[in-house]
Amino acid sequence: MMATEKRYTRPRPCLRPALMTKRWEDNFEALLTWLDPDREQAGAKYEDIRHSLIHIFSWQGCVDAEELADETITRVTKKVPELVPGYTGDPALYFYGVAKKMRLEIMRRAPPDAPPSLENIKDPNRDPNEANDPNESENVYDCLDECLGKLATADHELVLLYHQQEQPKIESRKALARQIGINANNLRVKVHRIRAGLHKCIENCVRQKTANEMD
Amino acid sequence: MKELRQEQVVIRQYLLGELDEESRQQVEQRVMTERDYKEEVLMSEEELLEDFAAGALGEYERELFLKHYLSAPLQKRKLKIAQALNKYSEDHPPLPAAKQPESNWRRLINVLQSRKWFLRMAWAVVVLVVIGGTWVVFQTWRGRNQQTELQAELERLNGPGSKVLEGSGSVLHLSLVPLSLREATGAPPLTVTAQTQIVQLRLAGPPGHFQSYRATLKDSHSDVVLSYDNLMVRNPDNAALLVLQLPARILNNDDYVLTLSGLKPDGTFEETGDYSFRVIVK
Repeated sequence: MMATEKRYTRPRPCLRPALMTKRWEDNFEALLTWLDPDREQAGAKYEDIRHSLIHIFSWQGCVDAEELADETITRVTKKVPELVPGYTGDPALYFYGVAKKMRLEIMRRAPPDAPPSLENIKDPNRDPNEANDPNESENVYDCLDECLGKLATADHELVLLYHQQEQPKIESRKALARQIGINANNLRVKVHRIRAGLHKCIENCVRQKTANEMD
Repeated sequence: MKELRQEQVVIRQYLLGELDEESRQQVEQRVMTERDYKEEVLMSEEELLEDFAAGALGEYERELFLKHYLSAPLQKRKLKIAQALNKYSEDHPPLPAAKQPESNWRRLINVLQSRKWFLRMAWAVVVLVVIGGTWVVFQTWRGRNQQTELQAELERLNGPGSKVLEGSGSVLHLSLVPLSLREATGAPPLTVTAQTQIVQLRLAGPPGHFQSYRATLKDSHSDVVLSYDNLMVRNPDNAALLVLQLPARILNNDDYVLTLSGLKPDGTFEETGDYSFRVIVK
């Protein structure tokens, strides 16, 4: 069980502690088995679903995307005993169905405001002093430096070179791919995966710095 | 490759909030169930962030980016990282490329410094030809690039899943009837201001009931301004219409003719009508 807790990002207990009973734990185990009989695969699928839900809620404009994703998972987990025996198809779609219903509930409770007019929106590119928190921007920059330093040298150089291509970047990057000896789309995917790792590193680093500053 | 490009157009429309509900759900379901597709969405998102951070988004996309995409904290954090990466790559330029072998440069310099006038003259002619040729190639490339961008924008505004935009300060509507039906009162005017971003041409009662249409817009010199295939009948306000949405920036003070052609089952097009209008830019 401890290994499970370390590996998977459990929904945060927004529930009362009393509800985190053995039954919930059993349901969670059943949920993982439903995703895949192999534990490793089940864990990867679980994290993938959670990650997708967070992004979808965020792309829909939800402020608390992580909480909504966890609430979705909690609702599905509660239903697992009655759901799994008769269910056919990709479990991920069930999660999506529950997320859709949740979003409708939220919109019914608090209909979204009309989008603000452009004059009232700060453009982070054009109003750097007003739009950005300079401290946070500095932290992000420092963390980027730190995290780039943790990459393998080849990956570090590749990411920078990829960003340093002249406009139009599409053509320059095709040339870079030819230079390296790989297909342009493979280069795109390679850099994306390096950047995904960088993002995680930077988010953790910024969180740490912010926590240290508040102490 | 064309399919990938079409997919990327739809993904960008999704991220900027341009898709209708059904298309939006299709994208999200694929994100949930297809790893490769989800990765494509995330890559397209990174490219959108890069374009915004580099100031490379057009005004229309920039507006959607600020109003819709940047409304959530997760996206704002991603933008900060994209901006930091931008700045970092400017602060850490790549190492200079290795110099050419000296002997090649030495040979060229020797030619320039030669006392033989005809060698220097020949060199000057070569330089002029190279400069002229480069300029022609650059102009051609720039024109092609602009065309590619225009086609991508037209696809985004008119392709499957796109919305029929409502009239507003930045979106102008103009209803047109075929030249053959119109009385001789002159082409209807369309006044475009600095605020106008999109022009929406509405053509009632599409002739011939074809599955799709090609729209070709020509100016008063009969130069083709745009050509878009795959225009389909829409039903805004429950009326069957052909709607062509185009960026206002491509229009000048001029008279335009829009020619519609219907796609026949054998793959050829049949002209169905001409529609003219006048643009006044203020």
